[in-house]
Amino acid sequence: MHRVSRINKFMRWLVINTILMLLTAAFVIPFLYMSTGGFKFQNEIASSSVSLLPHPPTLTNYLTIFKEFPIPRIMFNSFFIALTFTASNLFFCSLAGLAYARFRFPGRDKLFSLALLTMMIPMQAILVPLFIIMANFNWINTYQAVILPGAIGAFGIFFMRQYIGSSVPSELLDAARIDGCNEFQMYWMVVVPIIKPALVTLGLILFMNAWNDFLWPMIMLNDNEMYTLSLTVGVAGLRNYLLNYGEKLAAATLAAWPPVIIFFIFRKQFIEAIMAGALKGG
Amino acid sequence: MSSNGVSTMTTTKDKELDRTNEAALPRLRKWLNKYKTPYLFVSPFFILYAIFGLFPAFYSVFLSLFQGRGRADWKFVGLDNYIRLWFNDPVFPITLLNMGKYLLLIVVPMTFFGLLLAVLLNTKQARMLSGFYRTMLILPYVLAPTVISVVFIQIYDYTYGWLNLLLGAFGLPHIDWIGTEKWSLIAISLVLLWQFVGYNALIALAALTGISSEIYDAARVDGCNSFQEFGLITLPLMRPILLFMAVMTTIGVFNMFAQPWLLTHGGPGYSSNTLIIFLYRSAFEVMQFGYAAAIGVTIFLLTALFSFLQITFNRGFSTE
Repeated sequence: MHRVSRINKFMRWLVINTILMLLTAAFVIPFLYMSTGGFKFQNEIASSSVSLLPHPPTLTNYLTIFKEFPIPRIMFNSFFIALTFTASNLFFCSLAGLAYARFRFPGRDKLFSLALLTMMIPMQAILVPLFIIMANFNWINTYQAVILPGAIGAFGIFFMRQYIGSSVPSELLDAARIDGCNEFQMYWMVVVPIIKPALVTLGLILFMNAWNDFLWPMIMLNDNEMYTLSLTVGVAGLRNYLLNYGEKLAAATLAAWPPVIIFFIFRKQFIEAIMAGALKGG
Repeated sequence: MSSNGVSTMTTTKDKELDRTNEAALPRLRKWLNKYKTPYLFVSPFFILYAIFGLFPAFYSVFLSLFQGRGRADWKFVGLDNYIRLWFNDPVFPITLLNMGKYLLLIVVPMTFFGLLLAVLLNTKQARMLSGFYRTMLILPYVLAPTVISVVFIQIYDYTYGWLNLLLGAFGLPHIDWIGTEKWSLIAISLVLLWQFVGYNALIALAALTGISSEIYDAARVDGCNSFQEFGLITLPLMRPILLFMAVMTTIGVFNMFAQPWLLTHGGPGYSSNTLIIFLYRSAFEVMQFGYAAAIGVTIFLLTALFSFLQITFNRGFSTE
C-alpha cells in the first residue's frame, strides 16, 4: 500500500515535469535555432539536418550583415531611441504619479481618470493623422518622430501612482519640506531613492517595448542610417531576397540578444512584474 | 517677478477696475501658487497627449470625411468613405471575418492554455524547477515580433522547416504553412499563441497562488476530487483574471500587425489580412489617407465595442 502510493507519487511527478519540459523545449528551440543558425552555412540550413550546433560553424553570415548594413550606427539608433524613450517615461510618469498619489489639488481624480481614458485609443487607429502631423513638422526620418508620441505613457503614470501610493509615506514628504527641500528636490532626493525598484521594473518594460517596436518606426524611418535593429530585421531582412536564411538569422540574433541579456539579468523583477499584473500584453 | 510692483500698478488703476476682479486676482495668484507644483507635475502628459493623441484622434474623424491622395487634392465627400468601407469594399468583410477567426483561434486557446499551464506550474511537483520553467516560458515574450517572424518563416519552410520535418518524422505529409490560404491564418495564430501564452500563464499563476489553500482543504473534507475542485473552486475564482486575459488578448488581436505583415503580408490573397494591415496598405501603399482614416475610426469603434461586450457578457454570466 505504502509502496504503491510512492510509485504513484513519482509517476505524477514524472508526468507533470515531462509535459512542462516538452513545452519548455517548444518555447526555447526556435530561439536556439536562431542563435545557432546564424553560424551555419546556407547548405546546412537548407537540408533536413535538425542539429542545433553548426557543422562547421562560420562567420560569413555576420560579415555579410555588417557589410550590407551600417550595424554600429543602427545599434546606436536602437539604444538611443529605446533609452531616451525609457528615461522620458520614467521621469515624467513618476512626477505625475507622485502628484496623483501624494498631492491634494482640485480636479485630481478627474484628471487621473482622464489620463487612464486615453489608453482607450490605440495608436494604430491614429496612424494616418499622426503621420501627417509628423510630415508637417518635417520630422519624417528623425529620432523625435519615433520617440515623442509615446514619450509619456498613461500606463506608466498609473503604475507609478500605485507604487508611490503604497510605498512613499506622506510624513516623509512633510519632513523633507520642513527640512527646506523645494518640491523638486523632495522628488529627486526623497521619492526617487524609494521608488527605485518600480523604476527598474517599468524601465525594463519600456525599454523592451521601444526596442522591439516595428510599425511606427517603419512608417517614420526610411533610410538605413536611421533604422533600428528590429526594423532592420523586419524591413530589410524579409524583403531583401538577396539575403539567405543564415544571414537573416544573423541579423535577427543581433536584434534579439540585447533585450534577452537584460531579461536574464533582471528576470526576477521581470517575472514579478508580470505576476503583479504590471505588464501590458503585446 | 515682484508682487510689490504688480500691486502698486493695480492701485493706480484702482477706479477703472471692477471690485470683484480686484479681489479675484490675488486670490487666483494665491491659488495658483498653492497648487502650481502638482499641476506642473501632471501637465506634461496632457500637453504631449493633446498634440500626439487627442488632436490626431479628432483629425482622424475629420480626415475620414475627405478624399485625397497624399497631401494634395483634398475633397469633402461626407460619409462616402464609410459607405464604401462598410458596403462596397470586398476586402473589408474578408478582413472582418479574418479578425473573427483570429479571435477564435487566439483568444480562446490563449486563455485556456494559459490557465492550464498555470495549473501545471502551480502543482507541488513542478515547484523544484519553477524558476526555470517561468524564465523559459516568458522568453518568447521578450523577443521582437520581427525577430520571431524571421525565425518562424524558416520553421514553417515547406521543405526544410523544422515543423514539417517533425511532421515527416511522424509519417505525416508536409504542410505549406504560410503559402496557402487554408493554413496562413492558422500559422500566424500559432506564432502569436507561442509568443504570448507563457505571459498569460504567469498572470494566471499569480491569481492561482492567491487562492487560499484553506478553501481546497475544506473542499477535500467535503469529498471533492481534483476535477470538482477545479470546476467548483478554481474556475469561478479565476473568472476575473481570465476575463482580464481575454480582454487584453482581444485588444492585442485587433491591433495585430507585425507578425502577419512579416509572415504573409496578409496573404496569400487576403486570407490572413488584418485590420491594421488593411489600414496600412490603404494609407501608405495606395495613399488614400481619407479612406485609411475611416478604417482607423472603425477599428477604434470595434475595439471599444468588443471590450465592452466581453465585460458585460461576463458580468451577466456571473450574476446569474
